[in-house]
Amino acid sequence: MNRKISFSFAVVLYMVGFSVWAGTFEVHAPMVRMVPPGQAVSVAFLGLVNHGDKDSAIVAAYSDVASAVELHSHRMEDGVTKMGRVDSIPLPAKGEAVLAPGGFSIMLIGLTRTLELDKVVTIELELADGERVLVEAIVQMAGTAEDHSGHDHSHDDDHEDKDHDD
Amino acid sequence: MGVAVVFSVLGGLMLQQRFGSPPNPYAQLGGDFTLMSASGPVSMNDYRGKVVMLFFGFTACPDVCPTDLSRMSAVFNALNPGEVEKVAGLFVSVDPERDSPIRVSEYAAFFDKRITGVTGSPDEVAAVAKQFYVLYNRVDIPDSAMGYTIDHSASTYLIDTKGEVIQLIKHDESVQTMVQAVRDVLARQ
Repeated sequence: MNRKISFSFAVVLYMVGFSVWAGTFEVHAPMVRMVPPGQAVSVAFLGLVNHGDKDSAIVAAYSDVASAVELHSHRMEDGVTKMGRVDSIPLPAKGEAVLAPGGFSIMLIGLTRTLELDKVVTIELELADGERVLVEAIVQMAGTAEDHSGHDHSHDDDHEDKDHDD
Repeated sequence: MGVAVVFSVLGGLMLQQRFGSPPNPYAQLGGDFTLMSASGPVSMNDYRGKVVMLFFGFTACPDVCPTDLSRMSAVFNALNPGEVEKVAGLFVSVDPERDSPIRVSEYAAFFDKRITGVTGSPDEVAAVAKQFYVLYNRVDIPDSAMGYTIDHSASTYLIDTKGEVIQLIKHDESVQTMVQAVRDVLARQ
């Protein structure tokens, strides 16, 4: 029983629009972009802090809101926007993975239902060690609440993304 | 090849602007074109007398296009009613394969009713992109359910009341910068 509780404690975070400290991993400002009805593709952004001493990574994401949920990276090259799928998003020890416009994102492809503004979309993140982090992301318009309170939105060049669109 | 040429020309234009010699480094960009919206054909010349914010993208674009169209909407919201009357927003889809005129019009209007969404046949879209030195490139993502994406230029073109391109506003410029740029163009008309 105790074991079960601590397991849940370590792996499950509930987020409703603010940061929650729950052991090793902390989620910031998770959001899903509102899209027009009929639009098949949306995107989720969030910050994930790793308070632990071990490097990790986001290796997959799951949600019933879309038929395919993928990790992607966007970047700007000489004024041209490019994107591609990545295998994982680094989550360094005592560091943070920032999924934000112009950088990493969770792509929600083939939306299974119409998104509703201010409603919650549940997304489960899978980390390198098999840990799971449950995220409740709020549906928001682009450009309204994507400012991850001072976090750097730029996509650092040293992130080891493996883009396919070059 | 062609793309590289276009690119170096555009780079040259940007450098020229930075070091500020000619009055309008973008004079050779733009011109009239006609594409299709949900409510019929739309021509650049229809906007004579207005300052136009013009952006190229596609509706399945998850990151950049929503950001730029939201910024365009924020610019409209920041302008006073007198200014808004003299400003138009135009979104051209460079993904005619997936985007019909109806789809792109609805998509643009979702961000702001004052933004008109248009597209055309692949050839028509290519011709307009060439006029504006817009780069776009369909890229297959075989390992993704996206199927393909489109790399594309992400600057917003600011066009004056006579249809001349005055400025390219980069994707990462703030709403405030863009509002000021629009006001500067309005003041010069």
